[in-house]
Amino acid sequence: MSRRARPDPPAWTVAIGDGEDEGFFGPGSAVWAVNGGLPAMVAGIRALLIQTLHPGAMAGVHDHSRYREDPMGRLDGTVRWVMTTTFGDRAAATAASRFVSRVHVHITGEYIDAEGARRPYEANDPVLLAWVHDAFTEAFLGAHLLWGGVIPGGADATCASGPAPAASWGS
Amino acid sequence: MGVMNPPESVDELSTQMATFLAEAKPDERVREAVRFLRRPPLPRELRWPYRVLFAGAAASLPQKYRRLLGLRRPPWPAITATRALIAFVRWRSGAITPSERFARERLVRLEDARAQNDQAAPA
Repeated sequence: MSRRARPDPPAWTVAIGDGEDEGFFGPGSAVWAVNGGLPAMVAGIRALLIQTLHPGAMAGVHDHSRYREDPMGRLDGTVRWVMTTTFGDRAAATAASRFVSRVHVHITGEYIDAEGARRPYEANDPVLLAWVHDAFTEAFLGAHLLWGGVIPGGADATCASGPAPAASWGS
Repeated sequence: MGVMNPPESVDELSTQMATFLAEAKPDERVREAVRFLRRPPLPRELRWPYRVLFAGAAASLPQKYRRLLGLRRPPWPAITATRALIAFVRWRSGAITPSERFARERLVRLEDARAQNDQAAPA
């Protein structure tokens, strides 16, 4: 059976091969197991579905995202962040998160909450970041439990890996 | 990224999600986003695999999320179909993503450099 020629990986993927340490998680970690697997594709869809439900997060997407005009470009941005923070060295992971924080600075506006009250939103709001983080974690965990293999350290380890890098990402 | 108090266990995660969902607002914006996620613009050959993955994602969601999103559980075994598709893709393209492959090559390079340094320095 012949194999179709595969396109070369993008430069940011190749750059993961550069770097000076094993990153924030490393081989054998729950995060590598969950994000490196193919269930991540389904998990991504699940995460996006859940994330729409918070009106503050949804307003940011509705007002600022280019997902309708350039869906593949928008998707690539997220895939790149997930892969670089998971598999890159600490410097690359930190730089990737700082980049996203800078993009988020411009994502502000107002929305109507579930009670009908008008509220301001900003993408770097710790509450909205926590929502996106939690929805993402819930989706990836759920998908991996259904379709992936055993998670090293158990399901709690996927959550517990969060605080150290999450704290170091704070900027 | 400034995430505050990330959950350290599955139970904590569930509690936080329940708190967030009290503010859920399933409105027209959500419907538009769900419509988009259900049928994003994809090359023709990817449309049916995507339909399987989307159905798997929807079927895997707890019922309360599906209700808020206006999604129905697919009337066919989407979770099993997704499992089969994942296994097929894994078989065709290998079990490791390029990012992980490059990361492992980096670790080998770093380990080799460490080993050489150890050899250079007398015990």
